Amino acid sequence: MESKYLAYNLEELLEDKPFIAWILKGVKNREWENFLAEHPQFGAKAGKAREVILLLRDTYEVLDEESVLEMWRNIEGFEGLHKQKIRKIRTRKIMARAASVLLLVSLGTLGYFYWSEKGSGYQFAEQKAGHGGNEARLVLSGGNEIALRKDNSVIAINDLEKQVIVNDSIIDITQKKPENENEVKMNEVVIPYGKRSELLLADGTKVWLNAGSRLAFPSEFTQKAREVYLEGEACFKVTRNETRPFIVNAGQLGVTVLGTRFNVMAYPDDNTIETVLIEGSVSLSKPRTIGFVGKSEVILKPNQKASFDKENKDVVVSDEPDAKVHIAWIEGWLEFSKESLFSVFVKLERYYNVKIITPESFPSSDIITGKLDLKGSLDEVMVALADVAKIEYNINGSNIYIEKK
Amino acid sequence: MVSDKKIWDDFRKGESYALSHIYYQYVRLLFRYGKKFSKDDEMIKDTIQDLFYDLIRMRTKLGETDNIQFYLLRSFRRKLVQNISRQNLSVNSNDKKEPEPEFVYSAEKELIEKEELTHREKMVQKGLKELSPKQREILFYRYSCGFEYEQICEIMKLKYDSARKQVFRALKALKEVLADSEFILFFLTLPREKNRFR
Repeated sequence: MESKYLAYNLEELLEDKPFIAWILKGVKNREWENFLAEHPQFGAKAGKAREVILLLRDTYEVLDEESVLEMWRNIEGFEGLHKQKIRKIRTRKIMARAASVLLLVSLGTLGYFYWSEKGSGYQFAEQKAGHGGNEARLVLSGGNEIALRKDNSVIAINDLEKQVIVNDSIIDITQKKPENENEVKMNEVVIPYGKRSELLLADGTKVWLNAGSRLAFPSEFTQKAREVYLEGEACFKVTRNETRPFIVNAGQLGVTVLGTRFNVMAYPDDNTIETVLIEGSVSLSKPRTIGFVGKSEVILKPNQKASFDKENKDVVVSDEPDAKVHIAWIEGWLEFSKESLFSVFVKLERYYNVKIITPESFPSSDIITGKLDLKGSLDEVMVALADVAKIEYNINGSNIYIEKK
Repeated sequence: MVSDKKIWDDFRKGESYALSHIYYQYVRLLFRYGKKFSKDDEMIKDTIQDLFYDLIRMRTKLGETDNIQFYLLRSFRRKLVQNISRQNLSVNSNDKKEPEPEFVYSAEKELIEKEELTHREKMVQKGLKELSPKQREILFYRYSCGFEYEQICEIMKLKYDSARKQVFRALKALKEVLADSEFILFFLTLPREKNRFR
């Protein structure tokens, strides 16, 4: 230890890095102890300085381990998805740029949509997702349309670099600031029957979009709430942010969440909108109706399902111990637990873009439990289903005729 | 020990160990730091997550650093202030001033919680009370984070001379309080926790 310390006054000692490191972290403790033993006159000064430093020690706020882990899982998940994209992007960057220019020229403005805070909901610009067009596509807020060529497309929004990554190409979405700050331009993803898609939104929220669905979302969440619009079925894994709730508007129902995993099924042809909660908590609210004060709200707990009846506008909450079966489709499985055979048929129709036709005499009370691998061909799935449900089937083009065995 | 520079460079290159290393090394410090700005734990956690999302997104565009802690705290502070302003905005839209962090030292907290204080403890408490919010923040960076004056000035948008002067005044005041007595140095009896400054 250098003897210069002997000449130091208190202030100098308090500005000396090695000294501070010794007090706070015990760096070179043995050397310092020896130095003190050799120069007892240094002790008083060192003691005072030490006391000042310890007096200024930071408080110890404890962050629980569960939070540490939860945050890490989110961050790791975000990285995983991002990394996958980046690797592919590098080689394709130039080509993608060229492609986006081409799109601009050839497509021009196809649709123009906006949603304002005062606005009364949202109008999808595209025609119905299901049978309408047969191509999965992303329609950017500027009107550019990008075809999603894969059966299961991956889309990621990068609001910082103003880019959207589709499968392995990267598309610039830099645009002029909207004249009206409150005006949020929405992008739309349209997935026809027989296709699926995964999206990573600007806030890190992940969305799996099932067949025959469409989702409208902004490139950047600039508003107080993060709002998206859904028609069809999607599973959301929402990035936690209590200051900016995430709202899924599904027809007449709004699902507000703070950070959680849940599935919403809101097909226009269905009589109900179903929300199944896997993790966290969500609240459902019907829009304010005239003469009705406030919004009616229902809070959902994990492993619960809320069915909203579109006609009488009622919400029924039921326990759903097998909540996870509702999101098995994101892994390419169709899982059902005590489900009506008809509802399984409807799901298969959407997934394979077929029509399933049953005779009028077909028993409507048939309930089935099981798991179908949707990665297989339609025929393979039908063989498995026919065996369990005791039915016979006959595929004719895109029509499947069912008979009870 | 791997240097900050190497870890940071590895992170920028996309080495997978670097992100988790940085996260686990600093998440607790970031949380503790956040608590000085807000009591809203969830908002702090959201902001930490957001900070890491940005790092991942901007990974290849990040600059060099040989002090990760400084790099993180500087970006984190900016984000925190933004989020807090946004929160406040919804409560009172006229109030546009920057949120002021509240730095309370461990010893101070103990004194507040203690029922009866000795004369000396009262003196110490009085001395600490006289520290201005600015002085407190500077002293925190100085003694808890080991930052250089240049770094402190950058974080707090201060002039070098002003930062030096603030520290000098604060230490002088504390020294006077402590010089008054030669009683037992009670703070020294606190156990030294290893690595708690990381």
